[in-house]
Amino acid sequence: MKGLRLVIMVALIGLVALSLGFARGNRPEREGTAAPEKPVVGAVMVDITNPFFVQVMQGGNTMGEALDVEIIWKSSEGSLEKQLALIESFIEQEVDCIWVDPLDPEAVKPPIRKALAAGIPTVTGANLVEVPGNVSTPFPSYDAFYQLTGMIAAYLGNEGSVVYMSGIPGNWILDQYQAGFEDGMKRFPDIDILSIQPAKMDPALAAQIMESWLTTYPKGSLDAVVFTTDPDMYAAIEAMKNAGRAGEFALFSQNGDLPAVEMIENGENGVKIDLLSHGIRIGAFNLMVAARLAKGEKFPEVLWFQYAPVMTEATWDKIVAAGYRKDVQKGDPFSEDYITPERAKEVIADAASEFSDWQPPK
Amino acid sequence: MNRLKQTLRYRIKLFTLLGIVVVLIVVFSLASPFFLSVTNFVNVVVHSSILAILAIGMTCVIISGGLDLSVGSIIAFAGVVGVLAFRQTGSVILGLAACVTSGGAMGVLNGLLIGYMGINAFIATIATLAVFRGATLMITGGHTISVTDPAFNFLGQGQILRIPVIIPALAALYVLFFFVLRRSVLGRSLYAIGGNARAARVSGIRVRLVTLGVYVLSGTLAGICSVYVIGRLSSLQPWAGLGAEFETIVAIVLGGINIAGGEGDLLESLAGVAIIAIILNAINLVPTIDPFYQSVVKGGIILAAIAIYERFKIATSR
Repeated sequence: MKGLRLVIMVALIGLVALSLGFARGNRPEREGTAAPEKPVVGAVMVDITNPFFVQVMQGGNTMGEALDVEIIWKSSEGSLEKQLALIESFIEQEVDCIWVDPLDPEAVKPPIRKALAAGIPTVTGANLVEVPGNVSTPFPSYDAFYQLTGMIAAYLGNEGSVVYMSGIPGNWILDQYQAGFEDGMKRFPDIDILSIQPAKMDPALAAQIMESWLTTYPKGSLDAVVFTTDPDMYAAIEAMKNAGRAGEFALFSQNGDLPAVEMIENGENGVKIDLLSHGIRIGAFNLMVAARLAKGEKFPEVLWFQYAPVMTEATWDKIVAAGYRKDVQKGDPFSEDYITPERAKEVIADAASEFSDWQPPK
Repeated sequence: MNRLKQTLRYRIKLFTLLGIVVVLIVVFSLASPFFLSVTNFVNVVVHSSILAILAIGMTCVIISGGLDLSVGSIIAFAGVVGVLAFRQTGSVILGLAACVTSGGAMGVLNGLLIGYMGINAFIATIATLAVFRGATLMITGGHTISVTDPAFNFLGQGQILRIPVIIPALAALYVLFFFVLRRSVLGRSLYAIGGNARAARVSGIRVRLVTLGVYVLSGTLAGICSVYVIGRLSSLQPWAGLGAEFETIVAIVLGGINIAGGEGDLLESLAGVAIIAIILNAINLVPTIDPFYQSVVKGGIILAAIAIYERFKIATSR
């Protein structure tokens, strides 16, 4: 028995040693040899089950093909601990650039520093992560909703009542949308904010909230509903339809999803303005930055990702006539004053062409 | 003769687990050239530290015939208490002590519910899971709280001679609790209670007190985890530890601990943790595993490991 145990132990140790030798032989060399065929970008997403992140991956893949880079997609599954582990794994794999969508901009700083120290450039999407050498591509989310309130107020003739369906409390971007909305509305004392409820990016919850509002606010007592994200708006529209009140309110949202853009184009369900961010554009933009960093290009440390307000020409004329003017706070959140639904559809369909020749603003 | 058979069976079980670990190392070394390196093995240990610490407490609880599903929530709430104490007093020591002792205090609640009131462990700890998590969200409002003090974050980010502090800390915990389970009166009491609580009571073991004690131990270890998590993330996360209890149970059951209680030991749990940790690390490293299939691949490998282990158990029990 002792002899058998010894044989088994020796065999196991031998197998480990063999695989060690084999693995070392397989490890791609980084120094002093021919450059790898394609630069590799390691992408750490928050979650890939949410439709938004599926769009981000789609946009990233399109841009990756256009710029001839390989992308390794990994999901943090909503866990910050897992996100840090994935960044460290990408450092171990010696990828050419790491793109992270941080769950927490402070917590990712240590592994970002580690990556930069290892000579791997980093891009942190949607958040400002202040680490020297890191490129952040934050959303000007506060400013975007601050500007949106000006558009809403002008559309309503600077008086009326609105409700706001917020996102996930504690999520920095979504909190910034809410802060921008609340601060922006303070400029219009004749517009009442009747309610703010968090839908937590859960369409089922969004529908429930809308049903409560429909019960609470009878016809004529509510003028506009503002959403943080289009999927919440679709769920709320279904609730409105079930109650026979679709089209009664002016709806404003963010994302620029194709169904929302078409509702604006066709005048359906009261959707008036949607801020085009769109997962496909976000994915394409961030991958563009990551790919060019991987190829050795340099960028400023902050590159603001800009929205584009989607509305019909008639809506734009109406709000301008009612006195809407841009009132920039921290930075201009919009790439253009507005874009039409037709132009929005072109941009969504071909995000790679929108950013392939992109240059940072001087 | 019976004892000899038991010892032999135990050794074969351990060797089988070790064999599975080695096979996984070989397979993943071939699948990824980055797997078999010192820095990656350090990553494996660091990334599985929470699981490893919780596994100690959960092993003790399960051996005693119980279950603690609240450990993930304890991590979060202990963190809240510790960070608030630190912010109020400015004292790192008080803050860290508050993390650990509040974990123990939550363990007291579990222990009283289960040991003294006789509530089923599954039900009691599912309830306290919700209570502790809810309290965390109430106090934090769902927001994270940044913690940048390097002393506070030492367990999560510090290094000694370029080795992450958590590694020697983990080793010390495992050595300590290995001897507690194997050689101490407490350890023997846990096995006795898990084997047959009535017989244990009749033989003079203070079952209620020992039950209370094991949940205090589990909570205290979760409190230690909260210190590590805060340090690693430089912040208190209200959702910290979410799902950790289930992952821990999977790991120690994979290691061969009997969920009914009364048998098993820390080496088996450690083997189970190692298997899970290696699988999770390899999934991160192998680029060809599409992220949409990660859960399927993870579950599949775990199933395969369990199937091999169970097959060996059946073969060796004849």
